[in-house]
Amino acid sequence: MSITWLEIKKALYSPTILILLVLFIIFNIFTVISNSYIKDELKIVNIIIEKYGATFNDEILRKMQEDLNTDVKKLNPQFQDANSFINTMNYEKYHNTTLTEQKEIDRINLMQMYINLGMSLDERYAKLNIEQLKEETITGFGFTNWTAGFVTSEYDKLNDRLTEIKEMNEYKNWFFAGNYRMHNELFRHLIKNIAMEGVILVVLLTTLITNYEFEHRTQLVTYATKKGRLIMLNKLMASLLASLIILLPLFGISLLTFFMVYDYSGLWTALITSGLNWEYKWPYITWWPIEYWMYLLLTITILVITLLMISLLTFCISSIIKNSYLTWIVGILLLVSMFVVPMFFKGIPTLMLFMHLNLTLLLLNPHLYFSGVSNLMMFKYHEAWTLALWGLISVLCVTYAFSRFNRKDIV
Amino acid sequence: MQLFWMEMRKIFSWKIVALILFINILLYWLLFDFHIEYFPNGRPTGDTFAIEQQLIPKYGAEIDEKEYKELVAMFEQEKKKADAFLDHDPKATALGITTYEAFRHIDSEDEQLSEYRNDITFHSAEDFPWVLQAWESLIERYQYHEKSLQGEIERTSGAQQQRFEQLLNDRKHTIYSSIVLDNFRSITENLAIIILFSIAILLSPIFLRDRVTSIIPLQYTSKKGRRIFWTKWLAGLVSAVFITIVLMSIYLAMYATNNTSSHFDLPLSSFSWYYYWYDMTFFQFLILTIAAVFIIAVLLGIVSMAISVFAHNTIALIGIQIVVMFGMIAGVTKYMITDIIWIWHPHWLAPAGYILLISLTVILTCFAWRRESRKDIL
Repeated sequence: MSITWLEIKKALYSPTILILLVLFIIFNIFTVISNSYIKDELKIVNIIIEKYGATFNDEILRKMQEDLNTDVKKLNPQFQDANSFINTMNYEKYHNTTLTEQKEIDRINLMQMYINLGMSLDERYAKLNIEQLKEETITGFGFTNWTAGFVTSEYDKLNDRLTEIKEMNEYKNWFFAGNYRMHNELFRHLIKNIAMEGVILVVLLTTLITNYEFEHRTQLVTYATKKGRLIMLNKLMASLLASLIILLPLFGISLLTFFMVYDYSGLWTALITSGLNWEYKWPYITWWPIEYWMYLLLTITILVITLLMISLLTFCISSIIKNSYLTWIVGILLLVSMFVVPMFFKGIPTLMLFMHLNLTLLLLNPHLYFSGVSNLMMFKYHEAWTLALWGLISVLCVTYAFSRFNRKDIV
Repeated sequence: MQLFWMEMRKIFSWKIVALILFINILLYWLLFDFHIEYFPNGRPTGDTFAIEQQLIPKYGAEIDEKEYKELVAMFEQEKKKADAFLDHDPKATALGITTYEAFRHIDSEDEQLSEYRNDITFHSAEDFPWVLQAWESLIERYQYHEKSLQGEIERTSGAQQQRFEQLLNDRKHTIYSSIVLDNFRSITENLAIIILFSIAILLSPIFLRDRVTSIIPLQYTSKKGRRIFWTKWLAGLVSAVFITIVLMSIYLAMYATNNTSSHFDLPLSSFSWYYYWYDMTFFQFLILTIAAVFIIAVLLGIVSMAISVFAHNTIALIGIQIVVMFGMIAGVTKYMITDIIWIWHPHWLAPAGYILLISLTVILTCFAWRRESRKDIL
């Protein structure tokens, strides 16, 4: 244990890694705060949930509209309902009112937007057409035989899932309106950035620990001791543990800042499939109902496991190349090529489908986890399969690296 | 001299060359290929580009009243062709559409009509919906050029406003789109990124390599002594220049296949959408941008060599380079290459940036030399 701890210390006491960690955290905090001008508008969802409950139906929407209409009457007795009030509102009128009135007008406006969104969902969900998406995918990628069958069965399953969502009214729960893109803001911007920064730190600290003896020309002493080359086992453990220790503040402080800036208090149990969380062409259709806190937790787990696998793979590259500089470049290049190489295999659909089981896609798309509408990553348990495949590959690589390292010259 | 070539051989070791080759292939697919393969991208962009290539040799940059009338006549002629087609198409007549104007203003609420429009536009061999769209945009640009300049004058103040007034006073009527400039900006941005990565990877280990393998004591106590620093430095500089020229000629040769030479003689003010501080032709702008990429690339090479002196170990070297490359890609390529004379940045920004960067490079190199010349060998 003490050797492992000493190895961990090599990474944790390295000024480079610490300075990079601090810079990354500052960068994340900066990006969160610089995008936070909408945070006050978002609070209204928490108020709605507190007053009317987390889910809604036509009854509740009608009641909300009535309540809003009485509020409008209180503010300005000339108007009978909120819609006509909002429609006649203009810039001059707005600026002629007092500050408290302006706040009330803003609130009415937002409430009406949420009510309208809630009412429009039934119609919008009825228009979703999975069949068309399926055909576009099959013809777009030129799938035939086995692949076409596989994609068809997955989309059929997705269709069932969509029907279930519609029947159970799963989409009728409150969330930030889609035009704020809050799901994107958190998972696609912040957490994806964290994942990228995590890759840099993990690869760097793993090569640092693994190549330490060769870089400092102490390999002839270290590997000739009684413990000998088994110290590589300690180095492997140390890389994994040091990765975890470094990732903790990176994830922790960045996410803490995010949730301090934005008020998610009422939304932890909201479903990702919420119809309000409809940001682009399609809403998020997860394969099973996932609550927000669960999604966040699973996302972090998946990313941490991915990063640990990257640490394992870097360990293998390091022990073979024995040069930190080249290891770093080769490691990063491998990850980039996982993203680029599938493009070359457009002619071989089966291979291309398999190539979507890759770690880089997991790192780049935390906002599309468990989603049925995400190109070729749509199939059920895509994340689990990817992790299982790469877990296997990493274990095999590590075994090979050990057996190779035990036989090779250490000079 | 012999030492110089040996240092060159160390810089271009086969491992590094293989890596740079691999990186270039990857980055080409990731960043560059799209702007070559898909230029002009889709319709009506392609149609606009084709029409522009026809018009430039005939009319040049400036369009006067008479030429504008000719253009309108050409547009009308194209329209007549479309009218003739619609008039003879049984489907169109059945739906009551006989002219292009009627086709253009089809009510998208009407399912039958809009289905017919989509059929013709997207699924038939007929070009006219796209070609006419391109023509319309050309004519529109002629009409709205002055108005948009006036709008900018109202919105801006100071030097920017003066520049817009100057542009307005020149009264050069423009009809050309920004397709070529858009493409060129993406090309230079990505070209710069690819070259910067290649240079950083090639030159970062130059001094550190000898330190890690502990041959510095041998080198500094030899007859040549510490002046070997400058031999290495010169070898680094020559390699930076060499690799920049090689990569640039390869990528610019690819850019040549976009066939934008038709636009070379147009002044920058005749492209719509982008406004610049200075009057120059597109070709001059191209030369300026390439020179900027070249200078930045060589400067990064020199900075990388200085970092290589200062870094204690490889990890520190990589850490510093991550931060430097972030600054290069997020800041320098944008403000000092693609937007070098763009009107929305102050006109002193890019020159000031270059002065700052050059002085920083010189200072870093001086410090590096001082450190090496006074360092204890033990």
